[in-house]
Order: sequence, then structure tokens, then C-alpha cells
Amino acid sequence: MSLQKVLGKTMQLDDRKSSGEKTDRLRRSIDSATTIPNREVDDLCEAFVMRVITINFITCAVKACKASASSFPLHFQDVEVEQQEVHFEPAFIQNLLPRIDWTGLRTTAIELGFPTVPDIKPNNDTLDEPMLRDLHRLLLETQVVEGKLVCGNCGHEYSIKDGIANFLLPDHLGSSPSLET
Amino acid sequence: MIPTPSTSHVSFDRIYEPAEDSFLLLDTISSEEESAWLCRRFSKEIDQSPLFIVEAGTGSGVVLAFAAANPKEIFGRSDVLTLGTDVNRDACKATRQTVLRAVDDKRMGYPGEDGLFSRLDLMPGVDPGESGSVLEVENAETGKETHFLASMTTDLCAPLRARNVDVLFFNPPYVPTPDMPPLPPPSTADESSSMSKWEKFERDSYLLSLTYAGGLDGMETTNRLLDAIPEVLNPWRGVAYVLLCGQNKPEMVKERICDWGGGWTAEILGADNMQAGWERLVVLRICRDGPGAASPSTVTKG
Ligand SMILES: C[S@@+](CC[C@H](N)C(=O)[O-])C[C@H]1O[C@@H](n2cnc3c(N)ncnc32)[C@H](O)[C@@H]1O
Ligand SMILES: [Zn+2]
Repeated sequence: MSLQKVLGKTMQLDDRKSSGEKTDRLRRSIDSATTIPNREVDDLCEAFVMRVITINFITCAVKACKASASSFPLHFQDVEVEQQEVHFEPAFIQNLLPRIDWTGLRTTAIELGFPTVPDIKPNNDTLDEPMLRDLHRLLLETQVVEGKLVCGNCGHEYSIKDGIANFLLPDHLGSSPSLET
Repeated sequence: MIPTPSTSHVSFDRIYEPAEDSFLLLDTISSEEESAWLCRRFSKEIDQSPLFIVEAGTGSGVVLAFAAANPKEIFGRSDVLTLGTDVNRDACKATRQTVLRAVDDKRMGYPGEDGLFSRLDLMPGVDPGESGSVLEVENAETGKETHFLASMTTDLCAPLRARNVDVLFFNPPYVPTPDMPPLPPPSTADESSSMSKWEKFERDSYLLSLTYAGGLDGMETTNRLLDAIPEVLNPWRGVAYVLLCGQNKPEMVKERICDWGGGWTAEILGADNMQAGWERLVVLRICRDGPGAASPSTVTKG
């Protein structure tokens, strides 16, 4: 990218921001910018990484894998996990259960060394508090800091660094051109 | 008005700074009319399972944080799971900070970016004895059922499993440009410590170009997201909010969606909030309606 082009684009962005009427929110944030104390947020955020329940909602990013049953769940490999205490709300976990793919969760639990997930999805009669607590611990309190997610269909590895999984694909797998050639 | 989440910890030389478009999204989803609509659609009496809320292209995270910190006001319930994606890894980091901070600010009663308080009893000049103790109790509950799952570096919704998303937000790169910046490669270096000043400038400019450059009609990225909607949204109760500018030809986009069939409809919201400026912003609400929509979900198999 040439300098001129870069500067041109940056200017375009600035123009866009200064154009037109300011919204109420924008006007307020300008007015109050000097008066609001800056709070320390570092401690709050450093400990915060990817919760295990995320695995229930994701699959391989490669389009061709979506139709294959073996692309779900993605497999955790070489992971480093952290436990973080989270407020336990039994009703929340119970309401969450219908959304959970049980076979997938069992696979994940084994990969992470959580042997306590029962073979069969509990129903309202078999659910008890200890089981809800176990699930709470696995799904919400366990956080993945580092490691890999591997697709069981195409073998593609997605890295997790600092709790952020990277699903960007190289050119030949993605749907849109990337910088890499 | 619900406070704007604080983003003072975000560095805007490579992450999109919340602007009119971001705020129009906030105002639209929290308007009396829209939140009433959302509360009906997501009523616990219809379906008890927690909401799965996703934002694509989170940038600073201001929109996702707004939803995560105020689910009761917006959706009428506090049990929500939130997840954010962006192609810019720095934006992913910023997002989780912003979301976490907003939820905490709400609980503690700190003011938002705009100096607004969500707890009247902490507002300067208000006698704590008189203001609603109800609010205090409600705020104490904040965050107990609100869980931020993850920030992920990805193109749009690429790794999301089909038919799971209840609420999807997207404030896209919507400015018409002669060409599109390529997406970052997977190997994007994490730290820029070894970069020269010039390299850093180039890198920041590239990341900023990703925030606004929309290619033909400003729609190239938005079109790809729209195509993914029938696949990622929960077909019963899912709803997507997509911001568009005038040059994106919102009316035509709306008609195209109604032509999808299968009960998909689109509605243009927020048009009268923002008449001035060259970009005339609107919010498009996309969901499936008609028979079967918003009936008990049986989407995820067990
Ligand atoms: C206009 S900014 C909006 C930021 C924020 N949501 C807001 O409202 O303030 C667009 C965002 O989308 C991200 N983005 C651009 N292309 C993307 C893509 N293909 N997939 C995911 N995110 C993308 C940009 O990095 C940027 O953060
Ligand atoms: Zn795969």
C-alpha cells in the first residue's frame, strides 16, 4: 500500500467521523470525556479466557467440513486450562442443557480430563445438584488459555493463544482472499 | 438512556472507535419499541434456554458489551451467553475487556462512557435513601447469569455451528471503496515490538482499512454475512441486526432478503434517528416470521 493511499484512507475515516450531526451518545461522551475517572481494569481482564462451553457452539471453519459429522466437536489438544470461580446458578445450567450436544460434551470432557460427565444426558428426574455443579465447573468455570483445536474431518489445527482462538484460514481454504500468498 | 459501555482502555490507532453507527445500533436495540419486540420474542414462557448472542466484527466491543451488561432491559431476561468475532486480534482482546468491564461497571454502579449512571442511587445529587432500592437489588443480580464465552479471530461467523445464534449483531465495514483489503493470514504476528515505525503505521492503517472498506456499494463483506444468516441463526427465534448506510441501498437489501422465501423478512429501523450527514445510517432487522417462528426451540439436539 502506498503512502498516499494509506493517508487517503485514513483521512476518509476521519471525515466520516466528523461529518453530520453528532448523536446524543457521541455528544455526551465528548462532554464527559474529561470528567469520568479512569478505572483500573487490568486485573479484571487478564484472567479472562475462553470458556469450555464455547466448544458447543463452534465447528471447523472450512466450508467443506460443515456437512461432515466428524467436524464436531473440535478436539482440544495440548491445552492449558485455568479454573475461575463463577457464581453457581443451578436453574441456569438446567435451562442450558437442551442446548448442549451431549455426545460432543462427553468427548470434550474426556479430552480435558473431566471423567464425571455421565454417558446419557440427564433429564429433569435424574438431574441432581452435584451433577449440575460438575457441569457448571466444566462448562463455565474451566477456561482454556493455550492450546489447539483440531478438526476431526480435515485435520486443520486452530491455535488458541491467550484465550483467543484463531479461525482465520489460509487462502486455499478460505472463502475470501487473504494477504498470504 | 442506558449508559454507553466504557472503552477508555482501548487504543484506537488500530481498532475502530465507537461512532454514530455504533451508537445507532445501541439506541435502536434499546428503544422502547424494539426492546418490547425483543422481550416478546425471547419470552421465557416460550423458551427457557439462555440466549446465545453473537457479534461479528466487534471492534472495541462496545455493542456486545452493551447487550451483555443490560440483557434485562433489552431482552427482558438476564440469562445470556455472549461471543464476539473480529478479523483483528487486537479488537478481540479489546472486546473481552470491554464486555467484562461493562458487566462489572453495571454491577458496581460506575458511570458509562457518557457519564450516565445505571443506578440512580449513585448519581451525584440523588439521595440514596429515596431512590429505588429495587434497582439496587436488580443490579446485584447483574452478571450472575450473563456469561461471556470467548472472543475469536475469524472471518465473520465462519466457525459457528449451524442454527444456534439467537441474536446476531453486525456493524460492517460499509463504505464503498474501489477495492477490498485482503483478510489477514492465519499466521498474523501477535506482537509488533520488532516493527519499525513505518511498518507499524502500515499495519495500523491496514487494520483500520478493515473497519470501513466495503468494496462495491460498500456491501462486499455485508453480503457474505447476509448469505450466512439462514445458516447460523436459530430458525425459530433468531434475529440479526445489521447496520447499513444509504449507499448500501438498504431498500434493495431489504427486498432481497424478503425474496429468500422460507419466512425470512427484513425491516428497516432507526431511519428517522439519523437524517444528517452523508451516510444516512439505518439498522436492518432480519428474522424469520410467519408460521412456526418464535415457537419453542428444538434446535439443538441432545
Ligand atoms: C465499523 S467497525 C464496527 C466495530 C464495532 N462493532 C462498533 O460498532 O463500534 C467493523 C469491524 O468489523 C471488523 N471486520 C471487518 N471485516 C471483517 C470480517 N470479514 N470478519 C470479521 N470482522 C470483520 C473490523 O475489524 C472492525 O472491527
Ligand atoms: Zn475441518
